[in-house]
Amino acid sequence: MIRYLMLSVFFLACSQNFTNSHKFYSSPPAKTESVGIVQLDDAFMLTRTSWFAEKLNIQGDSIYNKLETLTDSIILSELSKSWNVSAISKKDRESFSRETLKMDKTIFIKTRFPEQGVQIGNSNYLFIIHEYTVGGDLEAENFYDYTKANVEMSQKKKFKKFSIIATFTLWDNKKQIPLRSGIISVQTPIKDDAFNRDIFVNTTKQAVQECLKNL
Amino acid sequence: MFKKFIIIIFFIILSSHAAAPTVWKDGEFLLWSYGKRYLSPADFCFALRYENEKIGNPVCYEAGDWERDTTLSLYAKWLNTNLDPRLDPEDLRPRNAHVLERLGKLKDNHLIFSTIKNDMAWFLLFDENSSEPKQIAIFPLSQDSVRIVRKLASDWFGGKPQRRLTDAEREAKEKEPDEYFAEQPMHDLWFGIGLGHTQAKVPLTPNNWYSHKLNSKIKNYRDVDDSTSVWFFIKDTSPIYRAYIGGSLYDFIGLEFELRKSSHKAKIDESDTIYNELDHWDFNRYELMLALEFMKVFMPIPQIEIETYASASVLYDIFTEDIALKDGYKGSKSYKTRFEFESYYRGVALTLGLRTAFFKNYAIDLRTGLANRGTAMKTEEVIGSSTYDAFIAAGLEYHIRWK
Repeated sequence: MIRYLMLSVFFLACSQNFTNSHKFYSSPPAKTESVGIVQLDDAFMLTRTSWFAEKLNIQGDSIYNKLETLTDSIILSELSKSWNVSAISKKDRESFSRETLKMDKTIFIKTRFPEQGVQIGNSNYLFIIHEYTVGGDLEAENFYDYTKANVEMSQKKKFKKFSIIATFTLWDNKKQIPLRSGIISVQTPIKDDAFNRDIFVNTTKQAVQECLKNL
Repeated sequence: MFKKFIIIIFFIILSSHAAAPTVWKDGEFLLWSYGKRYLSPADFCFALRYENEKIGNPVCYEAGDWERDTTLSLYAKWLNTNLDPRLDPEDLRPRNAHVLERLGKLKDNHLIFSTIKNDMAWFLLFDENSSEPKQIAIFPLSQDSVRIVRKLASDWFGGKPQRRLTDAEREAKEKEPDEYFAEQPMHDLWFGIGLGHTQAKVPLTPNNWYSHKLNSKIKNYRDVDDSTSVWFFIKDTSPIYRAYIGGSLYDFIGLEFELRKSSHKAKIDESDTIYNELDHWDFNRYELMLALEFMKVFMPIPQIEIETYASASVLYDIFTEDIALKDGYKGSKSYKTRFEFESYYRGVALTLGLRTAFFKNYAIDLRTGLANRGTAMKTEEVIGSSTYDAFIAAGLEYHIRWK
């Protein structure tokens, strides 16, 4: 028990979360607010597909789609506990422009934002996940800190942690401005290479909660 | 009322922060409106001429193609939604590549965006280099519109107009490297003349190191207490007249050849009656120096270049004597057997210097250093086997520089 506690303290201590707010941003949308949740589509990135296919007992050629759909539905249902949500389709997402947002001195994220002057649907806010990376032993800084972008990662057969890294933005749909953006990372320890669907679902839920915590 | 007051305060802060835009003589002004048209081309051009007599014949017109373009009008709509005195220009950046592309094609035209929001007239100025509004001005609509337009014209375009560049000139200017980065190490050739001062005493050293030398007098045309330094015989302080020529490569290493002349009186013991026959007795020192120089160039501003350097020189000294007896005297035996310096002295000098170049070709040079010279012979009879002096000098130089 103590060992587990220490382990989680350790992981809390090393996960760095970066956020960036607009001048006018004060607090996350209230519970009754309408928030459009933009579906992941090309934001979803699964590394080590064969490992996941083997552990979750899903066929290799369909694992990408299945986990993406699963993640989308978990995110939507988790966020529906907080807001009055509606799903924004992949087609709308395709019209968003690709940009770069500076989070910190050396930390940049790739973003997908709607055009200035264009409102998507009728929600007051949009919740956009720009990149959602699923894998093992991933460090957020290796993805978004350009000074560490070229760190070579050894290809380990066994993972110590199941990792989800996500970059997100709360978007003001009426004014078309990014209110708050962030990078979150969630790590779940894996023992003896054991993995199942529950770990996947729970960690995805944790990732959503982590996003909400950072709003 | 209070809100308006706050907004006006903000307007003053905003307008005082941004650098004034370039004013072109006979410039072109594109007036881009969103919503109700507030700024009419005729009124604005009239205000420009009224507020700035030297502005020539400005041309103002409605930016019709900006207002008709779908993407541009989306940005206009977005600006209207988001304009707020609390925002900085960088918060109002256009994100769409098409908008940026259109801004980049403005050439030297000024684009003034105007819109009305919350009983305020907003004006944003863009130019071809804008990634964000260059200027922002806000006026309450309750103000007289003629006064608003005039204030806008004088605040933004009241400065001294510049001639507009032709397309060819603009193209050339774009290709021109930045002045700071255009600099690359250069080769240099210089000629200089200058004045200086030499003395035996090195500043900040104790006087008693020198008192023996400096108080020494020559008795009987050749007798002194000690003859290791020439300063036992002649006075050490003198002005220096100098001319030099030098060259350097890559602003790093150079050679300099210098000729110096200084004059020194013989230090005769006036109480000795033997000197009654003497009219004057002086020595000129000619010093030839060849210096190896290492330098470092700084450019605090593009017009001025500062070069610091250190050099080590080998030098040759020749003393020439200028002596004459009073009319009617034939010269005593001592006069005929008076002391003589060696035919030449060899030595080294260490110099630190600072050159400040201006007007490209001219430079003022300041330097200081220490020199020692002596003879190769080590016999006891040798005069001036080790003579130190310190010097400071200034020079005016003409430089020829090339890459």
